[in-house]
Amino acid sequence: MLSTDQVQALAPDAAAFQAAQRLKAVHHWVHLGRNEAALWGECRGSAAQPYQVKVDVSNLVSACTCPSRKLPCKHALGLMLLAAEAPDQLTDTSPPDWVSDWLAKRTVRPSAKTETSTTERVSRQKDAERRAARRQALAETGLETLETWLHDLLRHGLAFAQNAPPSFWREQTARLVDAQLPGAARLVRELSELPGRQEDWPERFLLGMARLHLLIRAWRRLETLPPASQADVRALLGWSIRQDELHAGSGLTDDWLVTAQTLEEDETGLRTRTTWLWSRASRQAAKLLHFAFKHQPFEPGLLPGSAVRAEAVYYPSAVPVRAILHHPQPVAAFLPAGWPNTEAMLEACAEALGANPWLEALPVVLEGVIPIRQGENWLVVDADQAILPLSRRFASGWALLALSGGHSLTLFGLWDGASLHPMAAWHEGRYVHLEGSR
Amino acid sequence: MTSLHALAQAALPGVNDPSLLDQAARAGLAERGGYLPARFSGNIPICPPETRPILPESAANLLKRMLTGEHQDLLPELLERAAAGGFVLPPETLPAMLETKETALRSLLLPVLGERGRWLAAQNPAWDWALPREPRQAWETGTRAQRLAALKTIRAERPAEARAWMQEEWQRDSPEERATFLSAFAIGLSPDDEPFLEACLDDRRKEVREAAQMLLLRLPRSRLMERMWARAQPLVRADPTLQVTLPEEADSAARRDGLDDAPLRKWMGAGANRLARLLACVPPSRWSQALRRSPGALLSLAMESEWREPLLVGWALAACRTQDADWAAAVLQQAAASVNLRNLLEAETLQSLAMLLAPERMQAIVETAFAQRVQDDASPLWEILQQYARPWTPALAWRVIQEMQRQAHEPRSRLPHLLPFFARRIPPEMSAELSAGWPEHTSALWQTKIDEFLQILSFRNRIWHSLENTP
Repeated sequence: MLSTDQVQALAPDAAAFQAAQRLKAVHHWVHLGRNEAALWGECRGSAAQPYQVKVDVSNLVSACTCPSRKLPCKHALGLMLLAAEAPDQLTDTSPPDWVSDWLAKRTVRPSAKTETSTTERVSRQKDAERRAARRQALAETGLETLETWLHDLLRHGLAFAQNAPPSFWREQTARLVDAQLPGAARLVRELSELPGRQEDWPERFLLGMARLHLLIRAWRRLETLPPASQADVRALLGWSIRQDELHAGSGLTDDWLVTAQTLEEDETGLRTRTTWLWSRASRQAAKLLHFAFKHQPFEPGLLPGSAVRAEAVYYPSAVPVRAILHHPQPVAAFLPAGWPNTEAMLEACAEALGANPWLEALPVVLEGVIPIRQGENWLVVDADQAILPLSRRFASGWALLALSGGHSLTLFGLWDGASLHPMAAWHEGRYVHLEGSR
Repeated sequence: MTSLHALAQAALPGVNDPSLLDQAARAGLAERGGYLPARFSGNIPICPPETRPILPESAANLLKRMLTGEHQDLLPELLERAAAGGFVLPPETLPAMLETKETALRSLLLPVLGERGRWLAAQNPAWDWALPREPRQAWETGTRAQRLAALKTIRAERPAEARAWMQEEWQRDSPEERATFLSAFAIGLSPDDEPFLEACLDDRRKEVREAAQMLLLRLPRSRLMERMWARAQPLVRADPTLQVTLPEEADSAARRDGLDDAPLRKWMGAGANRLARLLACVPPSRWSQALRRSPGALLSLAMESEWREPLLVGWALAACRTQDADWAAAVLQQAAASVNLRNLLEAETLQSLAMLLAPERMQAIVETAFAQRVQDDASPLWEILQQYARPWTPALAWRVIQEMQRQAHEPRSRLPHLLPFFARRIPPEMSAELSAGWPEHTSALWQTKIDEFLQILSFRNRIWHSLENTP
């Protein structure tokens, strides 16, 4: 069953969603219908012929005969809103030809893979090896300049970093990008944002430098590391893993609760949707990343507070967190079980940090904590009276306090070794997605 | 091991020793991985258990959508329905709601904040307004709004006590405060209040004198009203047409009673203005009794008089002030029937008059006007309907919307602008039936406003639907 929120999440931008709201009125439509496979209807627009709008129910992919380049267009969104809010209005049950033809075409999509001959395979493999060797050499040089840059920075002093010209950072990140090390470039960019931001920025800054330093050292003795750590080092530097390398069947099948979701946009217009999951039996976290550029829509995602049964295949790591999901099927939402107290959580986090020293924050579910306000600071206290401070960037302290009423609740959040950043909370059957805080 | 903090301090001015990065990596890992939590000692405030149920999930979802800006103007309706259903707001929405600055919205919030809301408000000085107070305490220490609310509460239960409170503080309060607090006397107004109000007529400040006059005019047989009647009665006779004499210039006694020479309508002459002013101070029912004619009959006669403007303006204001629904209906009936009268009555007066009518009476006015074929968009009827903010009956809604649909092909009509106003008063359960019957192709303005109309109506319908199961 569709919900208004779900349709809103599909909208490419706010304007499209608003326009769709106006199309909710039935008088815009003729031949509205739905069955278990599709929604359809004809929407009167500015053209002489009404637009034919159809939605594949299984994945909410839509198509419309209107000239709009937005995907989904306002007509498709309007149709979905109608289905969400007034399903009785979609009275037809047998789809017209233009719907069934479209559906049929979608289901028998030809496979892109074609047979390749052995010789072709061999030559391709050689190409790949050559490319890998070249990249290796590039990385070698890139990391050498990075090391020199780090040592120079240390010699100039952290105080210099606070007043360094933008070119100081830009040139170094550009060099790393040229060396095909986009991950390392990102770490340098993050470093550049730290000076002056918080009172303890010198510590955070020095730690960031130390992590880069550690990364260079790990790279130089990569073969001596266990395979999972090798994967961490390569991922941090910017070697990406294709999703088709993550094989179905090798992952963790469980019920997964969607605990939180965040949306970020960088200065280039790249939007990243991060979906956090927590599993029922294995009590593990998983992080799904989806990307879209500017007004491109995200592929339909999972709604915070809902749950699915699915196989999560993790990207290789000493502390696997990022994953992709295979075959999600909706199941009833549940209360997540996590760490019973602060001590157990801290112990697990220390262990994780030992396995992956570059870990910036670990997703945790922590049970039985009470939120408390002390002056301008927010913190949580567990049954043993152990205190964890909440992140200074966390902006929903009052909502958390309101939900708890002074009683203990379950939290989902990120622990960065010094503070907890809550993203969701559960209390007496209520789930609250704590938004606008990262 | 040196702490990360100490290493960072050392690195601030710059160091020529790359091994510091090794030390920082070790220290950082040790500190991030070896976090030692402090122990809490202190009391944790606990909220008393809630006695009423929390908003059903569907209503809570609507509320959260409204908090992000969607149909925000319908928030009062949701809060009213929630209060009527005996619900309290979901706890996670309370911080946003407690940030409300509007007084009207705050008073709608008070009944639905619940134990959790008050518990939360007690912990943030900015949310002080949400805390329950004893009326006496609020009267003595509260803000002006809190004092007025406290005074009204006591006025409803023990009017004499409220009067005594006010007299105690009279000298200390500012004239604006006195005028504001006098408005509370409308609750439980009785002849016992007359001596106090009569004394207010001698106050130095005009706001106070005017507030007292308004109240005295609503007291049947108050001395002020008798004095006004004595002045007015000889001026209008019906034999059989209306014979009107204009009043003399105000003497000092008349000035004390508020009859100064400030014009009500600038385009009327001085004498006409004096007449309108005086008529506005006499309950119109006095005229129907004394001249033995119905309000409608008297207004018809007035229309034929050369003094029709001051008569209509005066009687319309008098009907507002004394809240006389019979006279209000008669005035509106006249106004709806004639485009010429449109400029005589201000929107504010039209609204006060319209709000006195039950929907059935408003429907009668609409039917008569339609029967007289005065339904084009210039008719004052539409302005009256725009001002009619009481909940409409289905029959009234049907009649008005049918007429709108009949005219929905007129491209230059100003009627489409009224649709969003009407959408807020029509019974929301008519949402589905009123989405049919509109022309398929019409101007862009009509199209936009029809859509807006249907959206508002459908959102209200969802509000009502989500809250209809009272616990």
